Parts: sequence; structure tokens; C-alpha cells
Amino acid sequence: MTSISDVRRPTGVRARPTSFLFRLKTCWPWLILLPFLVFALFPVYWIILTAFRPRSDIFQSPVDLLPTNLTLDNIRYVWFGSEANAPVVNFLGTSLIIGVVATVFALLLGVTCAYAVGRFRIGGSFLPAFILSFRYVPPIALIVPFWMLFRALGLLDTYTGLILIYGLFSIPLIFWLLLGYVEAAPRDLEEAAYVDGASHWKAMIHIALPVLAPGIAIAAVFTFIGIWNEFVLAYQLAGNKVATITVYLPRLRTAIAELYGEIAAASLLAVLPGIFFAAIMQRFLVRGLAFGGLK
Amino acid sequence: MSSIEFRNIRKSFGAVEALGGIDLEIPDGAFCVFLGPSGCGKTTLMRVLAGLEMQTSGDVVVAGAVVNEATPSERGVGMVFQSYALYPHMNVRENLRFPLKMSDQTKDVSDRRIDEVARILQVEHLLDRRPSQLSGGQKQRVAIGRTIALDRSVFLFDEPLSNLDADLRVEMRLELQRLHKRLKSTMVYVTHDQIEAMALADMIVIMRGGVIEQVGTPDALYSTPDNLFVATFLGSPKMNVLKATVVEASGGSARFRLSSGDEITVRRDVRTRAGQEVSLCIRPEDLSVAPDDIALPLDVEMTEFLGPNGYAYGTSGADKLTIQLVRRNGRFDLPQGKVHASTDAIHIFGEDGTRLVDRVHAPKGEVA
Repeated sequence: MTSISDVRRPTGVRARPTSFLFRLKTCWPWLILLPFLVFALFPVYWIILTAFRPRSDIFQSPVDLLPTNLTLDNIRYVWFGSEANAPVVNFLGTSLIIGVVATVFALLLGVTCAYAVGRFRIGGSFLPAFILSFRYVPPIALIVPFWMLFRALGLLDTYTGLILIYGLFSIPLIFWLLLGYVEAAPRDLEEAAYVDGASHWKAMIHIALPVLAPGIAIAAVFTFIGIWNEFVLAYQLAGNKVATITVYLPRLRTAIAELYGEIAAASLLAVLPGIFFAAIMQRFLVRGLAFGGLK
Repeated sequence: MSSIEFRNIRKSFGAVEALGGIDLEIPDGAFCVFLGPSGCGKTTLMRVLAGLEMQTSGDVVVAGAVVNEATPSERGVGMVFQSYALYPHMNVRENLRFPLKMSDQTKDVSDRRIDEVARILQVEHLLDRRPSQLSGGQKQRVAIGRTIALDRSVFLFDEPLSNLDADLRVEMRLELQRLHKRLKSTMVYVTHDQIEAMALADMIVIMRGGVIEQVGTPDALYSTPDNLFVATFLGSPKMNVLKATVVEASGGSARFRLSSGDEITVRRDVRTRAGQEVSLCIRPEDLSVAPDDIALPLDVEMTEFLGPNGYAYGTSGADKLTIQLVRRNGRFDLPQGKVHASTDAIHIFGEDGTRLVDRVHAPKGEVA
């Protein structure tokens, strides 16, 4: 009787080599990457470890690299708050509100602007470079004039103030990211929509924006994460009544003690929304690749 | 009624003039093909008609009304794009629904219309698919379907078959003809493929360099081209062009010296004088091995046998010459040093490309 394993392989096709030498040959890229991987991931590991360690273990010598003697005390401290600090959720909430609203605000202006310039050459060849020039100056250089402006307008320490300034600083990034997408997107689709009876506005809403969705998703992720991580403006133009997570974290370095375990715990909670947001947007990114209504 | 008229249409893109004064009338219900080499302005002219491009000057008239300022949909014009331009994020049903939605049709009316269009174009089984899941021919049908979903009096096709393979192209060509019969609308079709143009059109507009070279029925253009460009552009293989010098021209007859040194006499009224350089043009199928009015020398270099007919390629003096071979009793007669043509089959063009002999008989069904 002949079983499948008895069937001879065609001559010339060798059995897949599994020798040590062969494995070494195929895994060498991993060997090269390994040190970089350790370099990049170790701090993440260390933060996670610190977040779950009792204070006494954080400073122990010699250093223990393995997760032993874990506790939820640090998490509990930042989660429920203390006399000195409100619960971490308050700050996460503030960051979330400002991040989402400012991102939406910046997308509304940035995307429509990129579409207008990319499709209709509004503003001539000068406008794109002009919009980018907002980014030539680091935000910190403008902080004093902005502070005075905000004080005059009553925007200091308000949601509106931070949302406005984050939105404005994000527009150039969104504009330039999207401009490439708009110019690469086939004009035929919108022209077909005009012929089908759509106005410029409807063609943009119904046809262009869905086609640009992957680009918009990328712009949204970058913008949101940028705003989420911003510290200087949040600290200088707000930070008392309206305090974001980035303003909260350094508060844990008190005059009495540096609460490393608590900082690590709060940091851990602070990166979660960013990861979650990027995961949602992933859907749009992947969907973009499946398009193909032309040809 | 939806006749179309272009009145002295000019269009410039910066310093480049794409259309240099187009005057053209397309009667209601015609199947009109804009034909020309790439960059001749045919697509620009169609886009001006569609309202996607604004002419620099001149008027576009649809159904008797000047529509210069009207949007594409206000002109009652539908268009099928070369790329099909199906909306990638919508399935076929939603694609077909889009124009209906834009014209504020109720859902009931839209649904009925979508079913009807899907039946006409045989895409009923594809309604729930995305464009990326369709083959080229299916995309083409959906694109046409979306265009006919609304009642329109003029349909524009911008090289709609150029992305299909050869078999499918022939099939869709027939389908377009069927559609034209059924809808009875005016159709304007842009292509650089002369076979497509000849097969579909009842009126061909040949363009070059932003101007119209000739307008007429396929037969008229083929049998009596107005100028050398039209003569050599239509027909495959190309019309033979022999450079010649006029030796003598008098009423009813002219004598020419060919580049081979041979002299031939054409017993026709030729508007020329002695010493002028002219082009004598004869289609490959008008040449034969059997003796006729005019004899031309031919050195055969290559032959091709293609079943019912074949071609012999060679030179006549300094000029290339191609003759179509006809199969007779199962074999081809090969030319032996000379080929022959009838006087009626010869076209003569001057140095500037204009026609120098009158047409022998006007072809039937002339449009222009």
C-alpha cells in the first residue's frame, strides 16, 4: 500500500532542510534586529514592571529584572487619587475631550483646505508653502504672545483655548498629509459625480471623502497622538482647572518624593487611549487598500 | 430633441491651444465619433460639451439652447469615462442609485429604475458587489448603466473600450450599437481606434491639432478623404502614398513622374500644373495584379498571408507600397514586378495636403 509519505518527491526538489546551518541562515536578520528590539522595548517593559512594583523594590540594589513581588498599589493610588491629586481619570478625560474635539476641528479645516487646494488650486502655488510656514516656528517660541492673547480673550485655562491652539497647530500637518492624497486621487470620480448631478459640495462629501478615508485616518491618528502627548502649551496656557494627562504626570514628582511607581502606573494608563484610537483607525487604513473602482 | 452644435469653440491651457475654432453640428439621434491621434483635442472637445471644461471662447448649444454656463447635469448629458469612474466605496446598486439620488428621485422610483437598468445591461446578479470585485467588462456595463439610469438626451463615451481585451471590445461594440437603437439618443464617442469609429459611427469627425480635418459618414471619409491626413489616417494597412512630379497637366489628363523614374498618365481632371510635387495615393485593396489603367513598379520585400486575404509589402522607387492579395481558387496571385490600379481609385493631393481631383461619385448617406 502506498501512503502519501511514500510518494517520492520529484527529482531536483530537495526536502526542506531543517539543519542547524539552514536555520542559522534564515534567522540572521532576526539576530541583527534583536539588539535593536531589546533597546526599544526594554523601557516599555521597565515601565510596566515599575508600575506594578512596591516602592521598596523600585530602588532595590542589585536590580531585579524579573517580575516578582507585584502589587496594584500604584495603580490604585493614581486611579482613586489622593489629597494632592484628583483621580487620573479626570486628566485622561480632559485630554480625551481636548484631543478629540481639536482633532475633529483641525480635520474639518485641514481636509477641506487640502481638497480645495489640491483640486481647484485655490490660492495659487504660494498657499501650500505659506500654510507649512506655520510649522517653521516651534510653538514654544510663540508662547508668550499666545499667553497674552489668551489672557486678553479670556481663554487661559479653558477647554476652548487649548482646542483652538491645538487645532491651529495641527492644520498644516493635516493639510500637507492630505494634499498628496487629494492630488493622487483620480479626478474622474468627482467628474463622474458632477455628470451624475452632484454639486462640488456633494461630490466632495459623497465621493471624494470616502476615497480619501485612509489618508484622513492617518492624519487623524497623527493629530490625535500629537495633541495627546503635548506638554508645553498645555502647561503654560492651561494646567489648573483644565489639566491634561501630560500636565498631571510631572505633578507626581512632588517636593517630598518622586513617586516613580505612580508615574509609571499613570503613564501606562496614558498610552492606552492612543493605542485604542490607532486600532480603530486601522480599519479605515486597511479598507483603503481594497479600493479599485477604476479600470 | 437634442442636436448639438459647437460654434467657434476655442480652448487654451495656458499658452497651449487645445482647440482652435471648432464649428460642428451633430444632428439629433446621431452616433458621432470624434477620431484622431492622441493629443488632437477630441477628449477636450467632449469635456467642453460635458461641461467639465470651460471653453475659452465660443458657444456650446444643446437642443437649441446655449449651455455655456450650465452644469453637466443641467445640460442633460451623461458620460462614460475611460477609467469607468465607478465609486469604489459603493456597491453596484449604490453606484446606479447615485445619479437618481442626486436628482431627488424617491426610493421607489429609484429601485424600479435600478432594476430596469440592471436588466438592460445584464448586471442583475452583480448588484451587491463592489467595483473591485468586477471584471473589466462588468465594470464597463455598470458604468454605462449609471449613465443611462437617468433619462438623458445626450450620451458621451470617452474611449470606453480601450481598457478591454479584443474579444470583449467587439462584443461591447455591438452592445453599444444595440443601446443606441434602443435609446435613440444622440451619442458622442471619442476614440483613437479607427476600426471602432468605422464600426459604430454614422458620422465621424476627424481631428488633428485641435481642428477638424473632415466630417462625414465612415464611407465618405474612407472613399473620398478631403486631404492627405485623413487619407492616411483611415484604413489599415495605410493608404499608399507615392511622391510624384507633374510632368504635364491639361484638361482631362495629367502625366506624373514617379520616384522610380516611371511615368504614368491619369485620365482625370487634376487641378495642378507642370513641375508641382504631388502625392498619388491608392489603397492597398485598390491595387491588383491584373492589368488595369495604371501600372506601378513594385519590388516585393515581404508577404503576409492572413486567411481570406494577404498583403505584399515592397517599394516602388523610393516609396513604400503595399498591395492586398486576394485568394483565388485557393491560392494567392503574387505581383510580378508591376501592380495595377484603376484611374477612379487614385487620390491626388498637393504639397499642402489638399485634394486635387474631384470625387468620382459622391458616396451615399453623406452627412456634411
